[in-house]
Amino acid sequence: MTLFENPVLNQIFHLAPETIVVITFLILLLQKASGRKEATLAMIGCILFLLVRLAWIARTAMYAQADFEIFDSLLYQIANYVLMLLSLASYGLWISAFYLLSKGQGQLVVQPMENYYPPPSPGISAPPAGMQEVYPPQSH
Amino acid sequence: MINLFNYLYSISHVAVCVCGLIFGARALSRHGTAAILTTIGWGLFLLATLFYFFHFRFFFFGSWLPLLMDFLIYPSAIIMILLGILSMLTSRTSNPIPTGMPGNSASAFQYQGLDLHAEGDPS
Repeated sequence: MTLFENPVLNQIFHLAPETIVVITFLILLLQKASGRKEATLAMIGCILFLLVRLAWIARTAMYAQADFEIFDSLLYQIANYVLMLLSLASYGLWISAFYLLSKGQGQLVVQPMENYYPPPSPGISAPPAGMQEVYPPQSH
Repeated sequence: MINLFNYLYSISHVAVCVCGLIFGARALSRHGTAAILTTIGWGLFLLATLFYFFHFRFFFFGSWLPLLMDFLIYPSAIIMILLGILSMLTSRTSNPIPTGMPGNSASAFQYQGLDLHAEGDPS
């Protein structure tokens, strides 16, 4: 379905929703989680995604104006497939950011209690009366 | 050759979506909402990819369906994928590592142990 006569405008119109979404999330990531490794990966993924969309719009502009012999050239084909690979790489970065986050949070759950409290001193088998109030039983 | 590359691209796109689905499904047991969002997001992405794969080869050309895909399915898939990542990042920020854990040297409340001996105790 073509709403505009100009193919560049059409491409911009079709790519606008996902581009706006990714720009919004990029700003949110920069504001809320800047500096973390996982957030950096997700941000690089967002930037790659946006760059690829920008290049696609530029390609459509070339289609509209340039000589059609360009599109048979090897350089054009290579550039096209590099863009495809970059698009896949941006998704890969999102997946790896999610994987690292899920792995990192999972490690917190399996921390043994010995890491939180030191072992009791020798000769003390049970906490003295009243210690339960100071150190209430921990629940996992 | 060009067709081969296009097929390879479509297959690798599907593979990436399946990877996202697998990672989301694996995290379901530990991270409820974020993992559900990511899994649904990659599922929608896979659906849209498969749709485009068949759309450009067989039928629907010039119909309103690509518009529906571009304005509904793709943006909602990306929203869910990124919301999953963002919710995990922000939950990590709001629930920091418990104080007193080894390695958390920045904690002002690190556990120092309890001195059970009164002052002047000969033992």
